[in-house]
Order: sequence, then C-alpha cells, then structure tokens
Amino acid sequence: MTRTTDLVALNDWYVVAFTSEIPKGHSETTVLLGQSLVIYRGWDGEFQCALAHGDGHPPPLVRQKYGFLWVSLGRPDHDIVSVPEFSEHERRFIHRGRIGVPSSGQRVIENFFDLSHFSFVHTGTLGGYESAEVPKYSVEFREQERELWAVGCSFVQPKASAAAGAASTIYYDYRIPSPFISIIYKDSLVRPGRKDLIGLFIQPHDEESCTVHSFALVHDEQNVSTHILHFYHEIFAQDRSILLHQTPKKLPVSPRREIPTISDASSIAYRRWLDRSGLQFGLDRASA
Amino acid sequence: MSSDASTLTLRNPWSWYPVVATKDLERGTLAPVVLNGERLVVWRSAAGRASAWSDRCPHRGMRLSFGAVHQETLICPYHGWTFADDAYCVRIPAHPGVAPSRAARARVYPTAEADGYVWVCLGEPSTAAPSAQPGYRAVRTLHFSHPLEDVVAAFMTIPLQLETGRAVSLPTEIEWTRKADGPSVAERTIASSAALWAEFEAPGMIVCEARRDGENFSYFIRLQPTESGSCAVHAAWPGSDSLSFNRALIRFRNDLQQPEIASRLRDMRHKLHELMPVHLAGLIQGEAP
Repeated sequence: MTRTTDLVALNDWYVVAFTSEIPKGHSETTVLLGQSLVIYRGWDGEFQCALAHGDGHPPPLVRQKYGFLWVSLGRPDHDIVSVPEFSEHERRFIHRGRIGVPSSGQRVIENFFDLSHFSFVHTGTLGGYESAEVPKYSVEFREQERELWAVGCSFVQPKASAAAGAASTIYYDYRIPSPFISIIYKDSLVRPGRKDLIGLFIQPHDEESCTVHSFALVHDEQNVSTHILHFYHEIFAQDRSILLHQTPKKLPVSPRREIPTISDASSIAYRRWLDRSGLQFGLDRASA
Repeated sequence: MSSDASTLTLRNPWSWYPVVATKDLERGTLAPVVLNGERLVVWRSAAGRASAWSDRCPHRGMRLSFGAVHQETLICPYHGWTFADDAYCVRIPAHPGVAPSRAARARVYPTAEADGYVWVCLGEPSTAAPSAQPGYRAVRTLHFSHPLEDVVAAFMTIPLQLETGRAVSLPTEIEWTRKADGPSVAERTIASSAALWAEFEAPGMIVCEARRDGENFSYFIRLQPTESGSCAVHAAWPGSDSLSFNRALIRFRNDLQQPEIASRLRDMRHKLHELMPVHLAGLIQGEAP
C-alpha cells in the first residue's frame, strides 16, 4: 500500500479508533490513506501516533474528540468537525462499532444519505415497496461551502428505529461536513420535536477500502444497547451487500458515468462538490 | 460455422460465444456470467426471451444479477429501477409519475439462442447466429482453472474416457490435416489405447470423435473465455447416457491437474502452435511457459 500524494485528502481529519477500545499500555496498527500507522496509548491514557514507514513525512497530528481518536497526516486548515450535540447530554451515546467495507469511503457516504434505496434494501424497516416515492427535499451549502446539507427529507418508514412501534413519516436532515463524514439529524420517535443523530466517520484505508466508525446520539431509554445495535447492524449489513457489488468502487464524478434522477439531488451535489474540491482520492474521474 | 479465416482469434469481439445452456436458464431467472473479462447478466423473461446485458445498473453501478426478473423486466436491487427487455428503464419507483430519461439504459450485447445455448457477442457480430448441430444435446458447463489455450490443446489431443478406472491416454503421435476450404484444422491423434479425431472450428468450437472398443463416439466442445487464466467448457453429445459423459468430463478436468499432463499440455500447445497455419497461429499462442 502506498501513501496517497493527494493533499486535499491528506490535509483532513480522520477517525482511526474508538479511544476506549485501546487499553492503556497497548498499541495498534492501522492504515490511513495508504499510510501504515502505529497508535500507542500510554499509561497516562494519552495517545501517540507514528508512521510505520516514515520516509521523511512529518509525524501525524493526533486529537481525542467525541470518544474517537482523530488523525491528520497533513496540515489541516480547519478543525475537527463540530458536533455540539455530543456535549448536550440529553441523548444517549452509542458507539455503533467499526465495520470494514471493501469499497471507497465516498460510495459508503453516498449510500448513507441516499433516500431512494430504503424501500428496496431496507424493506420493512426504513421503507416499503408500496411507499417508494421520494418527496422533494433541498440541497444547501453551509459554512462557506465547507458543508453540504440535504434538508427537508422525508420518508414513510415501517420501522424507523429500534424504538419505533408503528409506521410513520420521518423527517431528516443530512449533513456532510467533509467528504468522509456524514451525520443524520432524524426525528426522535420518543421525544417529539427533538432530533436523533447517527453519524459515520470514515477511515479510508486506500481508494477502494475503508473502515466505517459510527455513533448514534439517541433519545431512547427503553431499549438495551444490544437491541439498538442489532437494529443498526441489520441495516448496515443490508447496505454492505450493495456496497460490495457496485462498480467501479471509486465514486464516478461525471454524470455521464452514472445516470441520476430527481431524488439524487444530494448525490449530484455531493459529486460536484467533491469534483470542485480538487480531491482525487477515491474518485473515478473518467469522463465517460 | 464459417467466417473469414484471417480475422479469427479465440477471443475476438465479433464472434459468438455460448455463455449458458438453454436448459440452465429457466423463464423468470437470471445468471451472472463472465465473457472475456466482461461481467454480464443473462436473463430470461416470463415469455421466454433471453437477453445479455452488462452486469451493471446505469444508475449507481450495482450488479443487476443481484436483482430479479419480473415478467418481461429486470429489476435492480438497489433502487428498484425496472428495465424492459430493450434495456430502457421504464420505471423509477422513487418517482412513479415521471418518465425515465432515455439515457437510463443498460448496456445490451447481441444475444442469440441456438442449438441448446444462449450465445453472446461482445461487439458487432460478423456472422449470423450459430447454426444448429442436429442430434447433439447440451449436457453440462464446466469451469476450468486453466488458460483457454491449454484447454484447447487438451481437448484436441486427449480423448474423453467414458469408462471409469482407465488411465488418461496421452497422444503418442499427432497427425494434422488442414482443410483446404476454410479455417478449420483437422487434427488426428493416435494414442496408445484410444484414438481421437479432433477438428478445430472458429471461434472456439472443437468437434471430437473418439474411439472406444472399436466404436466411435463424438462430442462437441464449445469454449467460453471467462477471466484470464480460466475458461468455461460447454459440452454436448448425441448419446442418451449423459451420466457417463458427465463423469468423463469431470475426470478429464481432474486429469489436467496432474503434473505429468500439465507439462505435456505445454508441449502440446507449442506443437499446435507450430502446426497451425499462420493465420491461426495467434489462436493458441498464449503466454510462454
């Protein structure tokens, strides 16, 4: 595996571990953007991260935030994504685990904010054959084009979460604050007017494989964590069965490579936004 | 089958190749197949029409072979896009009232059904669909993890053994006959205990006649280039006892794993190469051992 030379990719922050999974005095190896890393947690609980094969590159930057360990291999000109809900303490935090996917991180992100697959891939939970229509939503850029949002999304869901008792129309906003991060803000079924969050922090190993680190911040005091996790893992396993069989694994940016429709407004915006960002890593830039 | 000899190769894009036996593709079902490195979905509608498309949804690149046949349509498993048998998308469930764009079309390959097989051409066919060989029945398709060229050499020089327990018979002498009127190469092997007459026809069809206990029996071998380094063999014969033919094919494939045979195959491949007329030489050239 070779370290990418793509500066846009290098100058960003990525989650590489869930901090409580690495005991004090232990080390772990992992790969980010083609670069092998050694993560070490000292007896004081602090983390260090070193390049396994330095080759003259600067040492990685390391931060702990939201319970995750974040690393940058380059010189990021922005901070780690701000998610104020982590400090609001009204929701329950659930570490949804890490799941490897042999595809580009961008394919995973796009699948995450895609509404029109619910009826076919998550039949009986997030969608149903009889209610496959995707209502109109809008796409916005926020924070000086630093973030992409799909807002006002809605969908009829037979079982929207582990806490759901009956079918209901669920309202969502999707936030994509970086090419490899997406967070859903979804109507809570338990506390009307409040939002549950589900987020993906993608660790791209190389252009065609990644680990998905994931969390939820939910209003659910009823279900035990295992029950909630079972629900999530069922959903993720269904998505994974799609991600394994898409070609190419890198995300095509040209609309002539993959024909979109109206409900793909967020996907079209994501691909254009990635194209404009100058990112090369994980993108298929062939024109036809 | 006849075509311009100078344009022949084992993997040319204007030839027809069998990809699945008619009997193995029932109405309302589909099969993923690989033809010369291209992933295809072959499917048969409820009315019985067979089609071969690129195994990739034009919308988001999902493999269509994970989808389902419904009546005269094929449905992608990812977003339910529904394609009619002309490969145009006719329904996008996310937008029931909207006519799909004409750009939303799966890639179609020329497909024909003849002689017990579904045939596909990856480019523009230079000949009509393959003609029938009356009397032969498609028995089975076997996948070989050997280069296509080795499998050609094997079928042209080693006869199938219908009886169990008989050692594989390697050729001791090969006699070549070149047909004057076409691209075919007739090749005769005289082995120690069995004789084989094998004739090579374009683009990957071998007609074999083997002798057993003084009687001759014949079979058809049609080759499908799949991934590099492997191929599929579609075998047909006129007999009613398909079980013994079937077993003979499996033993034949197992025999190719023997080191002695593997080294002989390399020799055979080179020998065939030397003996082939110049315009056919590329057929069995392959990589140097």
